Amino acid sequence: MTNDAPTAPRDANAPSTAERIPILDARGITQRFGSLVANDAVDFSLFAGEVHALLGENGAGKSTLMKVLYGVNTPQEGQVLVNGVAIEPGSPAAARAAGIGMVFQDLRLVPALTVAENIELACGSGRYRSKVARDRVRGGAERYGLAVDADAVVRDLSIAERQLVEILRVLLMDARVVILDEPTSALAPQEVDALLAVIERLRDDGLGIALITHKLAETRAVADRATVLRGGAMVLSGADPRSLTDDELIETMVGAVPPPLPAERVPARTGMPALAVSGVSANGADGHPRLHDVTFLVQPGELVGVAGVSGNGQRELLDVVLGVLPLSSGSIHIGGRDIGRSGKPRNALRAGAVIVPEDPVNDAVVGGLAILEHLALNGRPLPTSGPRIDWKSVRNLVAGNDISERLHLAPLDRKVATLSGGNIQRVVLTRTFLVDDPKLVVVAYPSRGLDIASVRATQQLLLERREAGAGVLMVSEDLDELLALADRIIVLHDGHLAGVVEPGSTDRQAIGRLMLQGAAA
Amino acid sequence: MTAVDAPGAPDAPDDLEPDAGGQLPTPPPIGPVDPTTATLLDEPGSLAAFAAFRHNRIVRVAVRWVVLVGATIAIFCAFLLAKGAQPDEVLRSMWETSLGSPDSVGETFIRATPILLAALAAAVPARGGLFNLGGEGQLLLGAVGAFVAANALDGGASSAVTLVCMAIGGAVFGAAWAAIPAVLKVYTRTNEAISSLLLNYIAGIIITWLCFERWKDPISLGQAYSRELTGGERFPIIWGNRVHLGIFVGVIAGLVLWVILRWSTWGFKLKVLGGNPSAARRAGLAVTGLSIAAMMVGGAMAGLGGMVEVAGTEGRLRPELLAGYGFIGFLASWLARHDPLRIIGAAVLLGAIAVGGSGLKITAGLSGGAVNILMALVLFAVLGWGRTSESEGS
Repeated sequence: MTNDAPTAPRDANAPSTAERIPILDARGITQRFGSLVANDAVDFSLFAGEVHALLGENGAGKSTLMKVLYGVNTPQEGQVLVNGVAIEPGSPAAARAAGIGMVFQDLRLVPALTVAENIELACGSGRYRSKVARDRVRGGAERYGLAVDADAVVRDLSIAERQLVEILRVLLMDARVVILDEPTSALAPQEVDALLAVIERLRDDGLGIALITHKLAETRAVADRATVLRGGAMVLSGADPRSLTDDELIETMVGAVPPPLPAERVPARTGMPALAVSGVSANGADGHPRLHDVTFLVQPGELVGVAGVSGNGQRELLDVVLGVLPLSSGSIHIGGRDIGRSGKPRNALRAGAVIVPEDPVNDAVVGGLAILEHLALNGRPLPTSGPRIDWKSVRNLVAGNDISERLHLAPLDRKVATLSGGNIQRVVLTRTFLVDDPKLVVVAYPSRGLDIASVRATQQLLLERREAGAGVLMVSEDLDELLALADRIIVLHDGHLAGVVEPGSTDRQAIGRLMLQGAAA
Repeated sequence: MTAVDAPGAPDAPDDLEPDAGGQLPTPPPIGPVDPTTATLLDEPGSLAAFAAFRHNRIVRVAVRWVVLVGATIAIFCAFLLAKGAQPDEVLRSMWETSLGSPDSVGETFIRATPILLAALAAAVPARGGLFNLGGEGQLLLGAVGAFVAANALDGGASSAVTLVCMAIGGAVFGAAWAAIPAVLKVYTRTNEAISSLLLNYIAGIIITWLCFERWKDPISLGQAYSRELTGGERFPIIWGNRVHLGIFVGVIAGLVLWVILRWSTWGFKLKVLGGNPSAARRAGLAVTGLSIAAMMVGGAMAGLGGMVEVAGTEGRLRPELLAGYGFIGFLASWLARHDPLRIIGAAVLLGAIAVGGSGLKITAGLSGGAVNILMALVLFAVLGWGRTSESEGS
């Protein structure tokens, strides 16, 4: 890490004009959606050879600003300059032509195609010639030092590897500016380090990197400057993150530092396990075996974390516990009740399970319905009065406690289609926590898309559930979160239970090795 | 622009388009003056006023409708000219035949009723995310069911009882026919669009067999059709020679379904299923039962349509009975985005075009199929409208 001033690019080969003119300069961007001001006179500049982090809580306007830069949104005010020249607003094609590349959070590769084919799709001439495409990928991978295999089928790649493919794709489209949207959210610790090393290499190569993130550690690790948005306004503009403490940075993002989690925990109870998974094997939705002989218990009043690199059986584990996927062998008991092997969610729900699924947008919400309507869909029988649903009782349920306020739930009449990912997560979390006296709370990636204050509120609610005697099974990609909350952590690798670790007596690297190499590690 | 708003949700705030949020002044509404030209002529220099005017939601809606309807009529007129017909005469005669007099309005409703009921047959499953392309066959089976009921009673009951039994017979047969693709879908994952479509052909064969063999009218002198329903087995005529009481069946069914889909627990569950089957399943809804029920309710609607056609308009079973109406109904449902209230409007519109087109051969020497071009144009116009308003909304 060096401390070069951002105006002095470290790439000696960069053209001298770049010393003064930023390669990307957004000035006074104001973007309104109706009465909502998503960006209020925001500036964001990026010089060649620097990493500029864009920090902010969910809904702060980070994604809106990036969409303006990438030409997806047309701002009401302000303009985007590339090398001092204004580019046409609202045109991704113009942004691409100006050398702006974006790596989206939800990677946009075709799983069935090879790496070369995917890249050719994005930047090919329209006529596919296998050799040309593969040579192009190999050349690019070599030039930028990215470990990308041109002939690998994307389906077989890990999230981290797919990310590199996306980055290479953007680079091969002659991008000089690479925007990375929350790139580390699905990676193991070692993979994060590797990605940050790639980012540094690209920066040293003279590219400008815009890094959207909410993680302070990676901001500190690679960012030369940081801009912080809060509620659409710019509260910190292009400051050196090393000049601020963590607490100062958090305070700029959320206004106040959230209270720490209670250190004292009530011990787990004994008795009928909240969840008993015994010898479970199951096939994924594609028919391939994805879980192999997994056995573990969750006691009432115990919080068990599930760690693993994304795609190592977490989704299938959640689905078998809820009864969405049929078991090929083994059994699952929730609060002592066998939920059967046939794949009927009703059994698990009736046994007292509530769940925040892995993919709320696809598996938990209906875009056209209001938030209120989702709160009735909690897996318990719908509250009815006569032939109609008793919406009033749902409203009363929400008003009867402070859960929706603690999670900053959007107004109940908002349609879910109008909500951001973080706000959808709030809907699903609120729905889960509103269920009275669950036996088992299964929650996947609870802090996904949430700001720091809401993450803390969610964690506290999970601990409250645990204390009230529910078993909690929590899948997370955030090791800090798992270490802070879990009584025990089970690590999944390739559908096998690679190990069970105690947070107090295990270091992160050991968990990372289990995640990446399995029980052999 | 969603078809149905959430219970308890106010209509206004969520479906506003982002740029219609009120930061622009709203000009006073203008009467029937053509909105595109009015301000331009009044204030030729005031571009800002024009921009504000252009952004007014109501004005944009009105302008788009004028353009769409105008374009539709213009293209149809171009077609008429190309065929050597006089557009003004043709359009006037179409208007006269379909909506120009009480009798012709009645005729329009007679045509609209099976379209409306077939549209409901597509709409209810569509609300649950299923494609019912079997309206055609379900209409026919409904007609068969009505005949089965009428034959069973054999004049032994009052007219009202007979008609109710025939309606039940039609609905049950239609529902049973629609249950076949639903059960195949749920238990064998057969695509319900394909299986319901193919069942249309089987239904057609059944009708043909009944008309040629089983139920052939002995006094028909070689014509292939069934006996004629008589007396209490027919809907009473309410005006003119042909307009019968059955024209209210479709409208009432539409209103009832609108209430059920919008307000009932069942309608809510169906909406969840249609919106996201995975979420419905994970919320513990009985997805299997809901899917089958949705298809069967749809089939029952089409079955009613077949019953109304034989008990009201036709009086007999013929092999060509209601040919094409299932598909027109399917289009009507998509035009109306599966909202029963809008379906009533769409069905009346398509019914009017069908009636208006029936006179084309006489007035303009065109084939009766020429009117299908107009229907297709309406479809494109409305679907195009839907696309543009959606893309603005996102």
